[in-house]
Amino acid sequence: MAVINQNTQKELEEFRGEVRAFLNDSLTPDLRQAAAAQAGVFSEGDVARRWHAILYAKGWIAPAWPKEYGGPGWSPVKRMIFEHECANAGAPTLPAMGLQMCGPVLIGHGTQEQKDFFLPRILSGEHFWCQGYSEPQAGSDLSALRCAAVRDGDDYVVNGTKIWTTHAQYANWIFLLVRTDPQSRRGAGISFLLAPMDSAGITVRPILSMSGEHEVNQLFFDDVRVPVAHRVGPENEGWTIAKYLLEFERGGGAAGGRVARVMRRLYEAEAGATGAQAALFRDPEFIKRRAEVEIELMALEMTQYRIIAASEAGQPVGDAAASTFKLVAATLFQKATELAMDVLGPLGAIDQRAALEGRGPAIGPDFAAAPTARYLNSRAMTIFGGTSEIQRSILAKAALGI
Amino acid sequence: MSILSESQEMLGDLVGRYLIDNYDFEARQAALKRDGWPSGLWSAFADELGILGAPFTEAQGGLGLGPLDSMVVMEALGRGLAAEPFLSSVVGFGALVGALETAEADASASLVAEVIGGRARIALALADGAGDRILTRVGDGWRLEGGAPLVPSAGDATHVVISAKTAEGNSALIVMNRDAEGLHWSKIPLIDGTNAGGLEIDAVIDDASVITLVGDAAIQASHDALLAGLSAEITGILAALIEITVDFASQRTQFGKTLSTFQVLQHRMADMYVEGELTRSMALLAALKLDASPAERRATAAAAKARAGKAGRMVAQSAVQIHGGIGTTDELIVGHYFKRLLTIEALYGGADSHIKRYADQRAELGQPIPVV
Repeated sequence: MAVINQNTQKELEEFRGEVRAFLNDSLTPDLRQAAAAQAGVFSEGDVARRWHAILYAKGWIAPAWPKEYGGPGWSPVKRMIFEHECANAGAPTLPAMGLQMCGPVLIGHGTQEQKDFFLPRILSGEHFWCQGYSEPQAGSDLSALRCAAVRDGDDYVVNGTKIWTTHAQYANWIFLLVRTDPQSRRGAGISFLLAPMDSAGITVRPILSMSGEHEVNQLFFDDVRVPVAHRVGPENEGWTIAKYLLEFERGGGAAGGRVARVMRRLYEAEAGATGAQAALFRDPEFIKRRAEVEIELMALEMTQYRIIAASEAGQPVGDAAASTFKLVAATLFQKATELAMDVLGPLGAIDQRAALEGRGPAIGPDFAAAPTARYLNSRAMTIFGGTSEIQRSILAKAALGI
Repeated sequence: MSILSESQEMLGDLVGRYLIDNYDFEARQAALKRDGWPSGLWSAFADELGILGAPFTEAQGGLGLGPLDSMVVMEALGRGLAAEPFLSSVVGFGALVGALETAEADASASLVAEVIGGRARIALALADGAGDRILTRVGDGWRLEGGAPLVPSAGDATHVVISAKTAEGNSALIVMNRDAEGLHWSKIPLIDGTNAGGLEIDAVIDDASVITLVGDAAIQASHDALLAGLSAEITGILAALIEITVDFASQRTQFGKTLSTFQVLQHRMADMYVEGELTRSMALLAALKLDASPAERRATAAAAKARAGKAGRMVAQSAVQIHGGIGTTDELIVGHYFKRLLTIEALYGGADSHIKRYADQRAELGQPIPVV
């Protein structure tokens, strides 16, 4: 099989050493600490910017991109090693909207001008993207979306609303699905647009999660003008692109790393625990649950490896693989965060918002700061990117032929 | 989703196809009822399929294939619900011989040749409780005493490999003819239709029967290969159960529509599929890690077996549930797959015991196990 033979074991071990050395040098204690305090899905603010800049300078910011577009030219196996090592070193999790969603879509479907303009700016971090997919009346039933774009000369005029828009408060660009044919239904008549967030007529309303994070927002579009040149793919055929992107979102490799980060912090917490807290870490039921999560993580990573190997060998990856990965990864992340919260015992009830926002120290040991917020935040994992129920329905069709 | 080479895919197809053509459910049940060994299938394994030499080196007359090749064969045997003792004779014994020092392995060369030729089948009494058996020096020979309460595949074996504690506290490995003097067998029927053996031993043996006096590492390697092999067998069983269940649900009509149109059943079957995929991933990983360091190998084998055990319960229970009444009967193959899964769990440890084994190994390793 091509992938296994592509790099010799010696090459892979050398690469692993190179990655470890880089992480050792670049991942400063304060970056690690800030990453450990991250309860939301992605790193944000200064932490995200600094880590992005470090990876960009090294040429490792977009491991999955083809070399011609600025990727490092790694084999899929090397990408897995990189991800595994980043997770085990406790590196920040960078936002996926530009690097893992918009970038691949532009590489696959963008015009030369779009690629030339946007891709370097995604890599450098100059452009920071958010995703305009869901609407209040179009959640799981995404193709029922109604946000309208009407052609007016060289522009579209966009009116409507988008919701659950992660990091819209930071983003300077948005990719969004709009209905360009008002007579159309479902997937037909949808187009894929790119718009600057400072366009006149865009309003951002923050939505606080039950975990206390401000991650997501509702957006209102009021006669927002978007140049036709910023449409990706043909008019009314954006649904194909929307689904293409979802495959990246669902099959995205970062999910395993997310779980690995939680597990790594559990071991660190155990090492620093004393007294009654330490006893909780020695509880056989905790040890069993931790082992189960670790085993599931191995199964997830190996499944990811199989997906990668198949696509490298030219076999279609398809909906079944992406949905399997999304379903398992989301459920597993929830199990991991639940475990990390449960082992806190009474400390789990403390509102650690001040510590999480850098406004003060953690109440109790440092490791007690994030788990409860992270657990609460993780409830969204089985909802966004297609709920677990949607994934099961896709699997029934795509994997079982029902 | 595959990391198998073309030749490995072909090997799996070859064995799978042979079983479909020559070993349907009725033929299997009839063979088990007859208690008729050696079955025609075993000689076909040797001659037509040539799979009995898979893990043995070419110098030993084998094919010198790797763990992934054994995996695809085990998966095909699982899917075909084959009751033949490939696991103990080839997978377990092969790993045992592979882990021996060259001189020791050479001493077992004639038995290896017999296995490859289909003339010998091996039962393994290598359970962790080797302390139940003791080997002591008597004159220029040995005395072997003790027992092994439940030896899988003993009914079909020509030879048995026994571990026993030596005076030095190591585990010796002894090979004997199944019917050798001093071995007292009782026949123990298992719920999967095969026969295990209860073994009482009080035997005087010569040096030639002792493969090694320090076999602990080889026993461990063999055990991990068995766990990886069983994970592959379970992968095959789950694939069969899922296929059978989806077929049934697509044909069976209630309330005027097929069962497969009910979302609650669609989602349950989707979960069965996911369990099957994760089990396959872990079986592959366990096979690949058979060549890793002993600690990593051990942890991964336990993890795979734990995951497969958990998946086995979920898929088998769901298969019966979705079939409804007919799923609970002896006449449907579903129950027989179910009982094979339960037999594997009982004999080789279920999910709980292997989770614990994994946790102990993981603590020893001190770091997570990388997939690549």
